[in-house]
Amino acid sequence: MDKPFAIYGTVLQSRLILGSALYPSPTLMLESLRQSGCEAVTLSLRRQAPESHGGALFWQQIRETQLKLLPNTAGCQTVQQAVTVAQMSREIFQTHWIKLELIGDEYNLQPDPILLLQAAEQLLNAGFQVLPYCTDDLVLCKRLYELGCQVLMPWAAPIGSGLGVLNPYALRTLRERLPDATLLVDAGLGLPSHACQVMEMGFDGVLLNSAVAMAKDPVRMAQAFASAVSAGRQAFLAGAMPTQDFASPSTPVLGTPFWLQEDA
Amino acid sequence: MVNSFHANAHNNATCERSFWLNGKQICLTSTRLSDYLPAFKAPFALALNGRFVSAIRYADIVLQPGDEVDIVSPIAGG
Repeated sequence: MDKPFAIYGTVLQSRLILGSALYPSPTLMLESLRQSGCEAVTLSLRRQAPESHGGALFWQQIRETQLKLLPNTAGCQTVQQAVTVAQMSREIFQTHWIKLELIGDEYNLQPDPILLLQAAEQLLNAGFQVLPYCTDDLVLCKRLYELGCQVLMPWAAPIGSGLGVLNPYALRTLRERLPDATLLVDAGLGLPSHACQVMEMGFDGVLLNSAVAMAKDPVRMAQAFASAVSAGRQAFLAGAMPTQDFASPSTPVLGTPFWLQEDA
Repeated sequence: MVNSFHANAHNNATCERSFWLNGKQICLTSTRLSDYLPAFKAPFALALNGRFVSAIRYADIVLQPGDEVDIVSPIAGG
């Protein structure tokens, strides 16, 4: 029996959350979301250009999916920017969830840990349910959790890199040291095997975008990630066998033909 | 009411006071924020000088020269 996967008390049946960006077409985005079985989708806010009708079609399509919405603060570089975007998101999307992104470096889009803590504290105090996109630094994650972030979303690798888990030790340590936190890997995964790997570690879920949207066949890749997340979770619950450095035959040795036992 | 976002673009020869609307300099032909909003399609949210302004306050906002207004809408995101 598995424990429910919950985001601030909201139980989700699927442990996979998908982004809505970068798909070749809206049709493929919608079908990928559907085939993934995800129940929550990330989205964002940008300045409205009246001549483009404000992205009304995207909004209509996303609403029709009836998925839970997880708005992000992508692109924010200061605490005030993040807080303002979070407040605007809450008004539009009518959710207290906010995927808090505060970027500290343009090269690898690494989250700024200091500003992240400051912004998380302000947003939690303002009633938000904060899902911080963070590095895999144990102390940072502990501080965020102690502040009240029930959900933490460490990266596996830089956003959009597809490199997979760069530091499995760090992720395993997070799971070990924060057993009660809801941990999702967010960013850097490229293959279903990467998702399976973190789920086998005991992570509660996975958040993806580029790995599905930029696949040659996004819909099929969405299905593949859904299977991988499920397989990884089952493996974690099943408990892996202990590893060892030497071989151990699986077929019984006793009764092996052609083997002669010398008399003592 | 200001009918067109574009028709009101800043022109140094004719515009003495201006503000910034979504990064573009606009003539401040009216100081009422609500006069500029009909050009935008719902849903949108708004920030004035980097601070969130709730929709219920739009009618109360008086713009000053140099103000920065951001009006945002949903887009795809990861």
